[in-house]
Amino acid sequence: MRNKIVFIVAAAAIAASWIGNYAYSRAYRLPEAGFLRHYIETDTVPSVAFDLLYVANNDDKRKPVNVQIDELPELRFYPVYVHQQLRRQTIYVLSGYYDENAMPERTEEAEPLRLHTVRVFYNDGSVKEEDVGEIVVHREAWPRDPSEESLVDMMSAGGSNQHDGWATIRVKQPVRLTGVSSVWLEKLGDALQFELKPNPSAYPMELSKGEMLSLNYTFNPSRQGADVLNVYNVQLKMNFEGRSGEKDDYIVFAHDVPYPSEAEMRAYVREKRREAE
Amino acid sequence: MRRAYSQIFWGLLIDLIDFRFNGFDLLPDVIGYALILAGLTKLRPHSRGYRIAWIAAVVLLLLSALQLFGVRGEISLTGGEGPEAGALGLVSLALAANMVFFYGICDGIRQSALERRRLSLAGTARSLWYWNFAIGAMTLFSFPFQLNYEPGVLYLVFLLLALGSFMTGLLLVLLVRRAGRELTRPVRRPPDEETDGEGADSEEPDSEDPEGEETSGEGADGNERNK
Repeated sequence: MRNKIVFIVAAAAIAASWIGNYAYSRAYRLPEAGFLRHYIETDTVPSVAFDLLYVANNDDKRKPVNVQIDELPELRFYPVYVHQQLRRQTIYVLSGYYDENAMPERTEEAEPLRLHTVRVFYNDGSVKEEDVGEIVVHREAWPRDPSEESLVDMMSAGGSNQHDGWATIRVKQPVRLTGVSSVWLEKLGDALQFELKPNPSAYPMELSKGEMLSLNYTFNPSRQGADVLNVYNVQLKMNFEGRSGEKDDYIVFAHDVPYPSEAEMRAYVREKRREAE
Repeated sequence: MRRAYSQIFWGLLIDLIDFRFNGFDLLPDVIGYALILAGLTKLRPHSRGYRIAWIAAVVLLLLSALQLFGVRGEISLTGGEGPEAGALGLVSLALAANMVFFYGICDGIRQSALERRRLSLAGTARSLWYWNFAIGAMTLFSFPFQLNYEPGVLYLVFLLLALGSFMTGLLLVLLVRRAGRELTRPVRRPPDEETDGEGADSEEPDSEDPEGEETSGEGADGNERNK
């Protein structure tokens, strides 16, 4: 009798362990692999374009191998690589660049493109249009006019994995700073904050030759739920105007790529599962 | 009978020890289970335990045959990656089948030993089954935690359990060898002491067998059947 009780208790404990662990692991599986939400602003000039981040469960065999955007034939992607591996999920990166040899000639700047989906090629041979968030593409004239000269010099720039970064410039001639702009400023709201040093009391701000100007930006670190894994690739444009009225935008690339903790990834999965239900 | 125990002995040894050359298993488990099945087929009519072990050995043979076709039937504790639920389930099924097999062999040996008043052997068989049950149950309980926790956290636990499992496996091999020696001797009964087999343990059942009263009763039943 005692033996039977021991066997029953052991069997019940084993069954409870299996049921509990399996249910817990299922609860933290992504219902579907997919791209993170991106907020991207990019210029079609031959250089690094932007990164697209894709998150999948670790045991998912299907992975993206290439991305195409019909409107951007010059855009190419390097082979996919792992950005971060967590306990149950892996984040992959597809790094894009504009191929100089494939750049179409553009006599004047075209209307910006707003893209929400991209065509993704997977390693199993399937092709699918995937939602990636929003990409704003500024299509500048190409080739560039070599006579154009910048009004400012870049002194230093950088970023950290603490959601912030900076850029410092020096003015080459007396200029007016008429403002700081970005297509994303209004939409992002409190998610992105920036500060100029010296801080202008009002625009336009007069700057004399040799004067330094710094811009510090911070992406709100207290984002919640799925927003923690948003990818930001924002162009903060410092709008300058020269003495003779010529305009020059100095671009500060404000990037924020997520490195979620296990807890943040669990919160993301929970939200995705809620959306899927 | 002796040949049957010998086949089980060699089968268990082959299954316990892996000789791998460039990842290729020189003595696949399927050979071991085939030998065990051959031995158990001969012993099956003699005890309920051997019949249970025979059924479990068929399951284990099929599972080991699956491995020959590339089905992953093992989990690396040092690979650094969490196992998939499918692989974990398959390994656990093999472990559960192995526990049943272990029980069958131990119970078969114990019953046969009791029938021959080999009380020391019967006690060892029962103790070994208890140990195997304890280690197997703890392993089955802790296995699914791999689905949710880093392998590093559980590494020491599984290492100890694997070591314990290997030790009980080794002891089972030795038990079968001993059973092959002790249970295949002819039983001679002096006319005045019909219940004592030749070479039977001289101690009283209570002093040898951890079961106490229950074993005494079973021992008596066994002797009744031997008459």
